[in-house]
Amino acid sequence: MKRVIALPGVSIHKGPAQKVDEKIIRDARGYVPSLVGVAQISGKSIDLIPYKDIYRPVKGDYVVGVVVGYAPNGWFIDIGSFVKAFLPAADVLNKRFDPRKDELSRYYKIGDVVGLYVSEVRRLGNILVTVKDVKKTKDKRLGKLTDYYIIKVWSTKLPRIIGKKGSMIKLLKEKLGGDLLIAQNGVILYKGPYEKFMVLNKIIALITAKTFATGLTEYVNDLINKMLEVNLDKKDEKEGDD
Amino acid sequence: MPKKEKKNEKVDEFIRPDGRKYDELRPYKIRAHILKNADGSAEIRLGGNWIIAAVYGPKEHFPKFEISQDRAILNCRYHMNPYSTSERKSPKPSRREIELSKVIRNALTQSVILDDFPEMSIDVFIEVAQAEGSTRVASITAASVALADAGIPMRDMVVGCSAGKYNGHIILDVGEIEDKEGEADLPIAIMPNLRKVVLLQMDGKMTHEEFKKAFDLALKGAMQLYEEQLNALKNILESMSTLGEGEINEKK
Repeated sequence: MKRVIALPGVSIHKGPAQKVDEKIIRDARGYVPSLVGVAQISGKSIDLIPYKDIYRPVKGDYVVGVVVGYAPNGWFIDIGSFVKAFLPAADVLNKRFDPRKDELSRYYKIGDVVGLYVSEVRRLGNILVTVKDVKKTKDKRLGKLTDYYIIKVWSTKLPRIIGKKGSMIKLLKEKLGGDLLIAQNGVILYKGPYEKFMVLNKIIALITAKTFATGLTEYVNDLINKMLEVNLDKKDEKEGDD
Repeated sequence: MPKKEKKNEKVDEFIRPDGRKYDELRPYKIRAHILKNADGSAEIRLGGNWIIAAVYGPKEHFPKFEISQDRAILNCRYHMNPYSTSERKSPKPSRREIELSKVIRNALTQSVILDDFPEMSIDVFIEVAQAEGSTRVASITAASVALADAGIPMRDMVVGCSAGKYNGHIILDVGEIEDKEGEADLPIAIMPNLRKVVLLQMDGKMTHEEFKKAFDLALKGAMQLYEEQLNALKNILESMSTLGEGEINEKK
């Protein structure tokens, strides 16, 4: 496998290729990436890991969004994509929505953080979301989320935060404990002690800044151990002072 | 692309008001990703020019009646700060600024793949913090890097450079004095890999041959700036792929 830097307009491969990423254009120049990032060429497939890309919702994605407005029959929710998503009130109420009896702000207010599934993407400007457990996995938190720490990253960084076969996320869960959850639109939820959240925050900042580095998981492992030790030391000192 | 000079052709040894040779660019530096809050940003320093470009989007377009059903709208604002010139410039958009916003937008529209985002809009803001001639081409160069930094798909980078005529000599990268006192200036913008010209304007008078010479010279300058554009983008990627100590000082 060959890793090359992809820059818009600069040809990265000439000759035949079968599986090509949709962000790569083909023309007389050969295969040309349209975004900045790192391209992986192996055999006849070309894959592009973009450095930044906007989240494009897909049906069935678990996302976390913020309520930003009321519609006559539901809520507008910002899920970090191009446009706001729409959450129908009937989904939350579990019955037919009657504007004369039901008050929307009794359920979700502006500013509330909500866990959702994408139920339909009609066009780019038309996204429907639901709070019903469509996939019936029961491990996702749906509805209003409280007492969570939230970190927002670009959705293109998520593969690196999860790692190969989930190696990175396993490591983080093992070391930090608590409730750690990743939404597909780039939101990371964490419930646990504040010190451990600060460690997580720094680790996520490192992973997003060093997306294309090799040997990141081992590096993060060492770093977490160091940071947790420092935290423990601080606690001991405090107890000693008292 | 630029042709090699013939051996028997006379080399112009004219020294310009700022001490440059006829085919010399001012010192240049391009940096990408300089602003924290914008989706994408870039900065160019070309001699005394200091231009910052920022990109927001793609996002919902407003007002709704303007949206286009099959492609995104690219908005562009070129603005000179009141302190960018030697005499205070009114912050109100002038006739010149409105025109430049339009030509820059037209140049960038050729490259950005707008069909990917129907009903959306992309905003490009260009602020001239310090001006010293040839700001329109420098703005295009910076805006193109900012668009790439924002993760907006592009067919090719867009890079601009200017040439002109001063005291009867054809010169590259027209500075402020040469712009005011010179006979002609010729700003161009190109897409280097697609070999397309996306902006070509001319002010003043040049003969047919002088025009050809100036055009070739501007192409040569544009290719130098193009290399710097790619370096600016490569620098971000390289900083993302090296694990170094001191990234996070956990003990402090």
